[in-house]
Amino acid sequence: MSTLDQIARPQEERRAGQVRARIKLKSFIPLLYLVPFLVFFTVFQIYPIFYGIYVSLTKWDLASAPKFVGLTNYVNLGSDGLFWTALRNTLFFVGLNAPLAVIVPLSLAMLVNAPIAGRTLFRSAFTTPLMISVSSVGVLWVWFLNPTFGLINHYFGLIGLPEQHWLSQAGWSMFAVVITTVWWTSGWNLVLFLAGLQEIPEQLYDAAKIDGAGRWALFRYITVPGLRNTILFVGVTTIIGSFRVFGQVFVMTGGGPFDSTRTLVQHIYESGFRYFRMGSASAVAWALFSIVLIFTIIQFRLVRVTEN
Amino acid sequence: MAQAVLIRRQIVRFPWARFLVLFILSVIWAVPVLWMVMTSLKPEAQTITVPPHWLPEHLGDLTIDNYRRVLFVPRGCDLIKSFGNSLFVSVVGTILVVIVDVMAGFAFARQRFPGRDLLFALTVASLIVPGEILLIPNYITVWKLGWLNSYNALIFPALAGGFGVFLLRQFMLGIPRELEDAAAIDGCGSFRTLTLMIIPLSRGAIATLAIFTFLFFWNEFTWPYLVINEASRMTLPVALIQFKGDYWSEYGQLMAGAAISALPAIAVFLTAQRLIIRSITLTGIKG
Repeated sequence: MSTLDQIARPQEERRAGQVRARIKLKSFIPLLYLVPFLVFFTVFQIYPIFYGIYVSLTKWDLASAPKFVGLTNYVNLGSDGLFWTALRNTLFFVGLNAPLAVIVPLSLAMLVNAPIAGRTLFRSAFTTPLMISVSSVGVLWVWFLNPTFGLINHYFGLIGLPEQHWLSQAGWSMFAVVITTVWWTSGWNLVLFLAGLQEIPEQLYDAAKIDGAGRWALFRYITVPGLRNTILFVGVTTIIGSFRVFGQVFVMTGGGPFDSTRTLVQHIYESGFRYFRMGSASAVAWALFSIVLIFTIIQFRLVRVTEN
Repeated sequence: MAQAVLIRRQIVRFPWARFLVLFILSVIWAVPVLWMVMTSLKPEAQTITVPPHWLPEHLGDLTIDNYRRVLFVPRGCDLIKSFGNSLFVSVVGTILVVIVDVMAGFAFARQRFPGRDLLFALTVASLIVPGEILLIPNYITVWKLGWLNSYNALIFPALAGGFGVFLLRQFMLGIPRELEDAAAIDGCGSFRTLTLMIIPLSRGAIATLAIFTFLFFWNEFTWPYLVINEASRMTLPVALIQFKGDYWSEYGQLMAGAAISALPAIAVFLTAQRLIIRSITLTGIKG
């Protein structure tokens, strides 16, 4: 038996090896479908993450060779007054914009979800601004908010509210940016909420109504649980999106007045491409990313806690 | 109290309260866009009035002169050229994104290969990386490749986005496997399975991705503003800001420019709106 075995084994092994090699080769063919994506994904998504870390450790103006300086750029952030201003403004914007950009579309979605005459028209009114590029939005709202000949102050006057110098008053400028942003972006979350609402079975509401549930109870015990995943998705993406605020302030205020609307992305943009300090701009980018990551992790934790 | 009772009784017939609230809110939402259109149709001398007026003094004063001037009067930035640039970049970019993402989505949803789950996890994780933190390294890459002021810089970096891959993979997972097995028995290779079966069955999701991608290219501002500074290569959003810098006091023309850049996108979206909501439900991108 053992001799037979010894004679047979190498041949069998060889054949098995060939088959295995063929299987192995074949199992890589599907990768071909992935190659185009992987090429771009690697060059413009994965590589820049690591390259960005490297750049943040250098002093580099693009004109001369980069000089390695270790953690200096990160240490210098501590004494960079504009960085702290930008961070404070960004957090203020996120704190104001993110809740509004969830609550407003959710309310609109609940209003527009029921069958009602003109529903498509209403929905279109809320989603249309989303289709406008930030430069048109900015140009439009600067005009709209103009203290002397803008429509907003005119209507404020008509209903007896005091005139505001929206974009030229440090205290008001960020509110103006938030109003613009909520107007501009609510449509997207509205569409997501509508899609979520349509998945909640109508029978649940009917059954609860028979049991005598009021509107608040219906919202609290059927709508909110039914939208749980949507709310998580909308929450996470809205907070990330709010941290990215740049175009609106860049077009509407340029960060002013008195840096009151200067944001972190603007700070990255200007240190990088106005003053050509690639290193410190990259350090700010990494600071921003860490903050976004922390917020995202906290949100996932919160959801897991409420789940249990 | 009495009013509340009254309102509640009316809801049973026609939800007037809801209708009224919706009506007022949608008017508020529409006002800035309407104001843009109205201003663009006024003669320049009447765009700035105190108090502001919706209509010009005489209805006969309504004019498309602002559109004519913003498009055809030669100056620093050429909006017709920019319109063409935007259209080219949006159409070519969208086609490429759809091709690349359909193939990648198919590979993730339907193929087995080593490292698949890890690569997919990476793709999903990349979705939470704000694009702005990659601005500087990607700018340097594009600069080293010699792509500044070229269409390449506007199109290729966008092909790295994981959103479409994720969307299509989720959708394709929902297509019953039995269909594919049947096709395999009939001797269909994976490429024919993809082109003859998976793509036709996913056309809703593909159309949605195409629309989102088109709108993304059409409206993108930060990146094009960074990599394009030659007037002849500017897309509309960039050209508009250039225009605003040079002609900030000509509101009528400014609004005409904004309208020209906004209206095609609005038209695309409004025609496709129902499709988009349906496929968000189908693909479950919201969670």
